[in-house]
Amino acid sequence: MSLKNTATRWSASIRRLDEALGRLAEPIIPLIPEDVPVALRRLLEPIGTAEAIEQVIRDLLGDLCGQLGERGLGARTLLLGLERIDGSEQKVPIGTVRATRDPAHLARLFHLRIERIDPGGGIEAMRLAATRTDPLGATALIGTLAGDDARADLSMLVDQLAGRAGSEALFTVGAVESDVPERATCRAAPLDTPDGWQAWKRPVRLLRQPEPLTNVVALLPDHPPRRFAWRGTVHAVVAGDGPERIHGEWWRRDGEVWAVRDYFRVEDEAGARFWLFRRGDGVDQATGDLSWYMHGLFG
Amino acid sequence: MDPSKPIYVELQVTSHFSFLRGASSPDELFAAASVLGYQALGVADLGSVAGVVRAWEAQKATGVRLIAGSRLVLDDGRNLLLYPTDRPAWSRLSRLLTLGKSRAGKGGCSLGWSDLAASAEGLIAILLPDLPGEATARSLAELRETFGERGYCSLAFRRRPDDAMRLHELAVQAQAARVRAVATGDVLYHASEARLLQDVVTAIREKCTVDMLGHRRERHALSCADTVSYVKSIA
Repeated sequence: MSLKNTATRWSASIRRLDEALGRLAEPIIPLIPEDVPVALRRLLEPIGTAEAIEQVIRDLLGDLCGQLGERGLGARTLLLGLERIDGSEQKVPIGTVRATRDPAHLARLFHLRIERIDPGGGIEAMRLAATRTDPLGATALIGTLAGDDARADLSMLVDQLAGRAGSEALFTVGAVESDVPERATCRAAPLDTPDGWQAWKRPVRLLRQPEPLTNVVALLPDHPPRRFAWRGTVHAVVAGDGPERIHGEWWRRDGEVWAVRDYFRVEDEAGARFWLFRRGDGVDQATGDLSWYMHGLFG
Repeated sequence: MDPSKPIYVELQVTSHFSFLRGASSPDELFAAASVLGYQALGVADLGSVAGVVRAWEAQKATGVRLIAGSRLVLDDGRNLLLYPTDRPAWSRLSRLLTLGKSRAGKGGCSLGWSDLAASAEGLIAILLPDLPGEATARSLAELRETFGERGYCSLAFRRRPDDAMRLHELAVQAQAARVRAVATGDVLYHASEARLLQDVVTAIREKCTVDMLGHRRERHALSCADTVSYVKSIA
């Protein structure tokens, strides 16, 4: 076996030997932590009142937002560390849905958390770090002269509501491409602008569970009911549109393979509009038992 | 004519010769039509007349008369059913399809209105409008100009909200353009059992899973039995 062959065969081991003997350079590529913007205040006298803590937070925010502005960054999460006199530390995190370096807005977010701060014997140092930042350039002031109809920025409202209710409690309704009404919506992040909505009308309120109707008078197969009773009240229908046929999503459940719902939009004599459906297409028994349900209310 | 049998003739039937569009073979379609009491069935495959031979055999087996034609999607998105009335017109139709296919290459068919107008003689054209509006009005005017009395506007149920209003507006527009209306049903499969296959075929065409199809499913498609139930409900 020639030396060359040996070299290719054992190349990895030989390279390690060379590196060990210093014949080959073995640079270490260090992981450099990104420099986190930090503001620090050491206090001359320990503080314990909410007002004093808030004042220090405002000072820290002033320092930090200055730093962020210089670097063209906006904060997404901030971590406030409070050192108590006994050496223990409390940490208070806040988050924002959109990068910001507005001290007043951030101060409001901390204000919502202030009662959770336990000063103990007194706080002698406070430290504020922007643990997660996003690029945030300078923005032009929106000129209202030309009648700008830019959408109101909801991010500050969302931050404050999330501060009160928890970020899981906030969502907006997004669309899912499904014909089955129960599956047509999902929860999306509060600031998303969902698209992909159906072009046609859907009720403003969908009942959690379709409610059975009684005493339904309707012609088969394709006519809306003439009258029906729902929650003990009899409604006489004066106008109706339909059917909108929705097939079961057969790839999800065995029970939906043949299932059909025929939806009707109807108006009763009082002017109220309802979204009803009949199980079954009115022709084939396998598609449903022809029972009627209330599924939604139009405004 | 037997009064118990529906006098409706379905003119918008797509067989599985419309590759990855239709789900049922001409045999299945004609068998279903025969059971449901149809006297004739118009088979119009997408940019093709390939289904005619099998449909001819099915006609002989079932006794349901075949009306042979083709469905065209023009480059501007207009959808038309074309039915030749005589043999020279059939030749013109097949030459038109050859032209479209030679232009677009494999699997495609690229034709404009001017190509269609050049072969219009002896062809019955049924416009399949989507929604009423200006574009439809223009198409209807052009249809009247080119095909005259042989141009029709299709009115098809979709089982979607405001269907009745859509059909009413289309009928009004057609009347204004002096185009006669004809009822069609967009039949893609022969029986509701084939709807599953239809979804799978659509998924293959769209190159995704059935679950991911979403609104790309053939949501307006009907089976033969569906259209018969409509005819009964109208009658």
